Amino acid sequence: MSFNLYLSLTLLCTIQYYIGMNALQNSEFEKLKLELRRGAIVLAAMSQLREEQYGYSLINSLNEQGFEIGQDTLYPLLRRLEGQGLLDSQWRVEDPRPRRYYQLNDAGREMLALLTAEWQQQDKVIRRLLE
Amino acid sequence: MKLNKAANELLNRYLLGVKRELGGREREDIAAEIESYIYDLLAERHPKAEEITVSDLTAVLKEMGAPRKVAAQYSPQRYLIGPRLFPVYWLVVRIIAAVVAGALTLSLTISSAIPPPAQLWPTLLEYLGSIWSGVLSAAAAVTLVFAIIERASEGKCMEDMKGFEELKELDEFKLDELPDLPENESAFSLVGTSIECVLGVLGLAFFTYIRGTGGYIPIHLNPDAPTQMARIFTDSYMLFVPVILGLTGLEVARSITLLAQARHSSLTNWWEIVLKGADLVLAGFLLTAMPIVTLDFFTKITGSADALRFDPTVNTALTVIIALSMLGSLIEIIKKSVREVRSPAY
Repeated sequence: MSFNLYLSLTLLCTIQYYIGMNALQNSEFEKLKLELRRGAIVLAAMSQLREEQYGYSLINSLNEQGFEIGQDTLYPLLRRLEGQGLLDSQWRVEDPRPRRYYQLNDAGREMLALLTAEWQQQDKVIRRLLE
Repeated sequence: MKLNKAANELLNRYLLGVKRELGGREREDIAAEIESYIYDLLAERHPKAEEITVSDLTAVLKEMGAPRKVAAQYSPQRYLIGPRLFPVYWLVVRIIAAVVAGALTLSLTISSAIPPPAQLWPTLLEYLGSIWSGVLSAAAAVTLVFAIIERASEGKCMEDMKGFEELKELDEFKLDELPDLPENESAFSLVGTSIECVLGVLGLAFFTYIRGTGGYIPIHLNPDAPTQMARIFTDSYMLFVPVILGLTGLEVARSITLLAQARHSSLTNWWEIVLKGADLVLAGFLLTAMPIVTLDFFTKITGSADALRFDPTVNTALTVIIALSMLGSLIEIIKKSVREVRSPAY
């Protein structure tokens, strides 16, 4: 009886330990993944703004291509990039609501070229490191 | 696609909540962009719907999270107490303020029950003063502690903030907690506020001059005759002039703050309430100091002392006007306080 109880408790503790470790690992992974993505978000967004887009279409465009992003991240980012003089924006009434359209300006296109070159360089380095 | 009436009201309340959380001149623009995003999202999810209902909209708003959370994305560095901690902070401040006010009231009650009986007005003023300083000190201490926690927890994600379960409200907010749409919320008026500011400055200049002359103003009726000084305020009124100057200065400072932020905020609203309260107290003291004006001014103009006979009548009329304005101010203070507590601007 006591052996069975001991066995059950040990089993329960082991299961709880693995569940806990798994949750911890997942949470750590999510945090590191966020850090990894943070720098890439600017490049991803800018890459889609060579053509004029409004916020929702930009979110869809990124999501459809596998880069998941929400409005809570994208809109403040667009505002920041515009504040840095890399984007131009204007409100236009089309279909039949007003929407704000964004597009890279000359400074933005130059910055995108620089960032793309830097990304490709880092990509090569990381690939080498991971081999 | 359009929103039905109830959904439209809900959306406006949500956007109002976001705007109140945002500072600066871009708040309208940001709110418009969020609105545009919500419409796009609804159009994608309900492409065939002719009318969007509250439940359709609620699902979208719940996904986006509380207005405070949405607004925080735009200005993460703006706060002394950030949006994650603000609900807890505000709760603690209210509890502490209530406890301090309660303790001081109890202390007043006990001390007034012990002989010898204290004088009413000095005791009451002392009580109000101690409430003010006690609540202010307690709020300052709580603010300091929360500001330290805010700095210490900067960069941590929501899940890291153990012990602050209330923070989940940022994700799981209740729709009935959204601010009501004010039917007649006083919109910021650049012209009106500028006029208030100019009038305040003129008031400051006038009362500073009057203080220097001891309640007299110059009269220059005859170009050949020397300028005469005529009294308009009594000595008892002149005792209050420093207080009037102080309050006018605070009113001008409030107008300047309004002009700088280009909107009514919680700060300027409470500032107005406190100033109105101070004006009310001042008016109360003025009533006890009657007569406060004299028609000496007219005797100098007309050359007859008959006008002085009307001094009591004029002061009685002033008493009635001040008493009525006190009543109006009291109602306004209560209304504004209730509105600010129920639906605070940020």
